[in-house]
Order: sequence, then structure tokens, then C-alpha cells
Amino acid sequence: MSENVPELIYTPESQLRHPRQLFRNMWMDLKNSRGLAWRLTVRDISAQYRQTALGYFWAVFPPLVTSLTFILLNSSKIIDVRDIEIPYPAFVFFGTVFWQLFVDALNAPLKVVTNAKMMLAKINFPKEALILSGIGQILFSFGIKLIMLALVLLFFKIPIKWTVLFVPIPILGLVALGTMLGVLLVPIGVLYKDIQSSLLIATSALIFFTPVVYPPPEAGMLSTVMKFNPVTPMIMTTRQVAYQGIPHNLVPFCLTFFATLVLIFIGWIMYRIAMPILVERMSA
Amino acid sequence: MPETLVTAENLSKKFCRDLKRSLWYGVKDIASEMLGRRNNDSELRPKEFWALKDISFELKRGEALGLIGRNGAGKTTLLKILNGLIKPDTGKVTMKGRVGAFIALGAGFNPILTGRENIYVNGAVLGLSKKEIDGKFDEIVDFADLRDFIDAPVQSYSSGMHVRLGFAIAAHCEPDILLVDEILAVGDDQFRRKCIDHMTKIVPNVGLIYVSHNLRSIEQVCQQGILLDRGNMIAVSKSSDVIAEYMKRSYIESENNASQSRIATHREGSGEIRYLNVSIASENGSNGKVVQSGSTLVVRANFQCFMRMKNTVRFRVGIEDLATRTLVTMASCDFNDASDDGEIECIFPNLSFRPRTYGLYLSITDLCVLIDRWSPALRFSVIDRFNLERMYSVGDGELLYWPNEITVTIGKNSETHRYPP
Repeated sequence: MSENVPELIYTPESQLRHPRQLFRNMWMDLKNSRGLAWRLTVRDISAQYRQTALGYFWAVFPPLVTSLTFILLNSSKIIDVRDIEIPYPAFVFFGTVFWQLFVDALNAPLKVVTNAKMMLAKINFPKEALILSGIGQILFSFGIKLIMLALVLLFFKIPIKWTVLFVPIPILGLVALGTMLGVLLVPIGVLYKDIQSSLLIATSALIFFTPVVYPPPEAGMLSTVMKFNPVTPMIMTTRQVAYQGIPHNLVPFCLTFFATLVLIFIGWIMYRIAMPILVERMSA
Repeated sequence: MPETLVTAENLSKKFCRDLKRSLWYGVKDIASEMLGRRNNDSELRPKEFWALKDISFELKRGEALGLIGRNGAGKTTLLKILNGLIKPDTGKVTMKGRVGAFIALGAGFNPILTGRENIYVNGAVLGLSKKEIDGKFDEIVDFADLRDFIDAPVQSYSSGMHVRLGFAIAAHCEPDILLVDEILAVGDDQFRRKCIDHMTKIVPNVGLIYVSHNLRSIEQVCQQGILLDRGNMIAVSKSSDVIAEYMKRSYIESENNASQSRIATHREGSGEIRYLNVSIASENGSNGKVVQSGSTLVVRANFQCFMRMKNTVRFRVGIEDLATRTLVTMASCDFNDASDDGEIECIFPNLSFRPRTYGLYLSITDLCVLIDRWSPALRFSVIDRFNLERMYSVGDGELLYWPNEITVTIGKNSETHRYPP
């Protein structure tokens, strides 16, 4: 029995000094955190919807409001969107549903860590579970939105292409991109409240620099900004595989996706390394 | 030879008093760790202090170690380091085996969810799989004694029920090393007894580290103790000795505070006769106001009489605890026509109080009027020389009397009263 007893050693040394051990621990914790992540996801989802009268409707509420606003603006010609293959309401709702997925993924890591402060300060558990449960929650509410989106597309009789089978890939990309940025912000965001406040402002502005409620313009400043916005290729590709057919240029998407995966790994290491320091500051 | 489960070598931890600075240090620490640089840094930065300094100890299976110290002594910080929540700034911890903790019982409970749902969540947080919880579910509910409430949302629980449920879950984790931090603060007597029973029961199979301000429970559960004071390890020894040392220190400290502020004493009464001064002596009480258990305590006091008393008066000497609850009182015989100054001597043979700090109070009463009451006239601490409390672990008790002898002398008139007569 004493053979497989785990031995834990805590020293002031940086964990990066022993990368092999670090990676092994990361892998083990990720594996061990699945059960807990599931529990936390179920806990938060049921707690979130149990104390509401409208229940799951709250999942579709934010994109619905955004869409209606722009549909109104467009119908009164305040903004004038052309060159889209599908009716504008469907275009906007499609965009906002996926945009909301990105925003949720971006906010989730900081939110779950902040909410779990009490637990973090007192109990040792695999911290990966928090991030995973955040992803679980956003995927759940995205699922509800997706049903609504399907109804909208059916209503407008949008012809769906067979390439829609690949849509999970850009969805994964959006979640990964949002989570990556969110996780990178956790260490500073837990220490300084400024981050959480700026995120709110940043995301409400960023929607206009992303092809969510209108397609990317052909030229001009906005076009350049959109080109370098990492969310752009994710949203564009989603639209393409869903109703436009085979994407002609996948390079920006692949580049962003790859960079996201690399950065998510770095973010993960940073998250682990920062955690004891954050716990110290949150309980002090 | 039982295996060593916990080894702590020269642990130190620094904290920062200033919030803004603390946050900034946090950013810097994260950055330097990301560059792989952070190492034994034993220098204090501005506004930092040592929350723990050079703590070393070992804990074997079957041993229980009590951490004693005032608030802010570093007990909880030490537990956090052992639990891997925060990193030490110097030194090294080695923990062998599954670590369990009775800390913040019920952390992670969601108030909206039912007790049943929360058992699964909290169990998962503590590292139990769904299958393990399924198997232990009934046991947990029975242990918490919450069968009727298990499907009610946890927000409708009282704080005691909350802790009971948390404890029941934590108690079913079967760790090798168990860390316990002040769990007796909430909960009724029955729950406390259950906690202590549970800990005593599992100690042979685990290594236990126990933090509590309830010194009696520490003595009951732990053989070894560590006394922490402002992050420093003052004493490592048998728990009863460590507690005695702690009592002595807190006594000296309170004495220093009292001599500075003089607010602690309470005096009342009509004042025809007044006590002037009081002193104690014990046969081996070398240390002034520290008395060893089992020794004879002699209390002497002088009083001054300002007026001839028409009614009979009675002198009393009593011992009270720090909460000014009277533990035992001795009364003299009744005196008629008291008209002169005098003195009182009270002998308590075989002083057998628990090792704590006590107050001595003196009073003089008429048939129905309080003439003088001085409380506490003096404070003293008892040290448990024979370790009796541990050996017999006697329960609470209310004394009817204590064998004693009380002598009052007024002028040439002296009378002694003995209990039992």
C-alpha cells in the first residue's frame, strides 16, 4: 500500500525548473479534474436556472436583444448592410450567437475563479476543474442558443450546405480563443479588478471590429482592423461552412487556431504557477 | 516504526501589510516564476513581515500535533502551506499520502441546491469520485443527522447544520494526513463531541495536525504541540506542556496589559468595609502568580473597617474563570460587631483546577447588603504539573465546596472555619 502513496513536495522553487514534472502534474490534474469539472458545471447550471422564472430563456436573451437592435437599425436604414447572401435578421442572429459564444468564453475563466475564491483559499483541488466547468457552462448555454438559431434559419429557409458538418471545428476555435485570452487574464484579473471592468467595455466595442452584425468592408481602416482581429477568421469560417460552402481561404483560420493552441498551453502553465500566489493575496 | 508522513524543514512565509503593494508583489512574483527565477528569497521587501519563520517539525502516522497560538500567530498560514494552497518562501515540505482537511467545512456548497446535490459537489471538491460518494451517501447523511432536510436547499439550513453536513462529507474521505482548523467554533455540544470522538478514533491511522483555540480539545486529541507566536516557533513539546507555556505567556501578557490600563478590575459595594490588598502564595509557586496543580494555595487579604457594623458580616473568597463565572466560593463564619481593621487568610490545599488562568474575587456581605466586592482582585494561572487533565480527562463539574480553611482576624478576635467541618 505504501508503494503507491503519493508524495507531495512544496518548495519555493519555480515549477518551471522541473518541466517534466510540471507537465506530468498538469496532465494528471487535467485527468483528475474531469469528474469535479462535471459536478461544478451541473451545480452552476442548475443553480443558475433554478432561481429564475424564465429559466433557459436567459441563454438566448442577450443575442436576441443585440439582434433585434440591429434589425431595427437596418430596417430604418440607419445602417445599411448589403452583399450578404441571407436575409439580414438571420445574418445578425447567426453572428451574435457565435459572438456571444466567444464573449462568454472570454469572460468565463475570470468569472469562475473569482466565484470560487472561498474554495480556492481553503481547499486543494485540481484548479483545471474551474476552467473546464466554465467551458461546460458556456457550451450548455450555447446549445440552447443553437436550437434557437436552427429555428431562425429554418424560418428564413436558409439553404444549409453539407460543410456544416465541419462547424464544430470553428466553434472549438471560438471557445479556445476566448478561453485562451480569458485564462491569460486570470492572474492579473484576480489581483486587479480593473481587468474585469475593462473586459466589459472592450467586448461591447470589439463587436464592431468583428464581422458580427455586418460583413467586413472591402477597404478602409475598419477593414484593416478586422483583418487582424483574431475573432474575424473564426466567425467568417463559421459562416462559410454553415451556409456558404467550402471556404476558399483557410490560412487565417488555421494560423489563428494554431497560435491559440500554443498560447492556451502557455496560459495554462501561467495559471498553475500563479494560483498559489493568487490564493495568498486573496486570503491575506 | 510508523512512517513519517509530514516533514517541514525551515518553513518561512512572508506577507505584506499594504494591499496595493501586496498586489504589486503578486504580479512581480508571478512574472519571476514564469521566468523560472523565484528561489529561496529570504529577504523582506518593504512593508513585508514574516508570517512564519523557520518552522520545522515531523509528524508520523498515529501522531497528533496541536498548533497553539494567539490570533495571527501563523497557524492557519502553516496549514495552508502544508495543504499546498500557498508556497513557502523558504524551506521545504514533504507530504506523504492523501491529504484531507477539515477546513472551511462546506466550502463550495451552493445555497440554492439541495443537501443531496451539495454532498456530490463537495465530495467531488474533496476528491471523492461519484461511485465513492454513492457508496457512502447514507453513512454521510446519518452522520450529519440531516435525513429530514437532505432534499431542502442548503440556504435553509442553520449554520450548525451547514457545518455538520460539511463535516460529515469531509469525515468520509479517508486521508493519510488530516489537517483540522478550528471546526468547533460553530455547532452544538453534541456536534463537538462527535468531532472530537471522530478525530480520536482515526488518529491511530493518520497523521493529524489540529488547530484550535479550544485548548482542552487539543489536549484530548494531541500528544504533541507546537506553540506559535507571531510566526515563530516558541515551543515544541508534549501538548500539555505547550499549553501550560501558552497559558503562562498569555497570563503575563494580560498582566502587562492590565497594569497599563487597569480596566479589568471591577469593584462595587456600599463600602463600610473595604479590602485593601490581596496576595497569594503557594508552597512551590516560585513564579509569583503561577500555581502548580496539586499544591496548596494561600490567599491573604487585608481589609479596613470605616464604621461599626450592626449586622453580622461574612467574608468570602472565590475563584472565577476568565468569563467571571464563579467556580467555587469559601465563606467565613459570621462576625458580629465588626469594628476594626483585619485580615483574612484562606487556604486551599490540593488546588486541582484545570490548567488555565483564573481570577480571585473577594467579597464582604451584610445579611442582605453587598459591602464590598472586588473581582478579580488578582489573576493567577494554574499549571498542570502531573498532566492530570490528560490522564483522567475529567469532564466538566460544578463544585459544591473545596476542602479549605478560612481564617478571619479582626483585632484580637480570630476565627477559623473549616470545610468539611
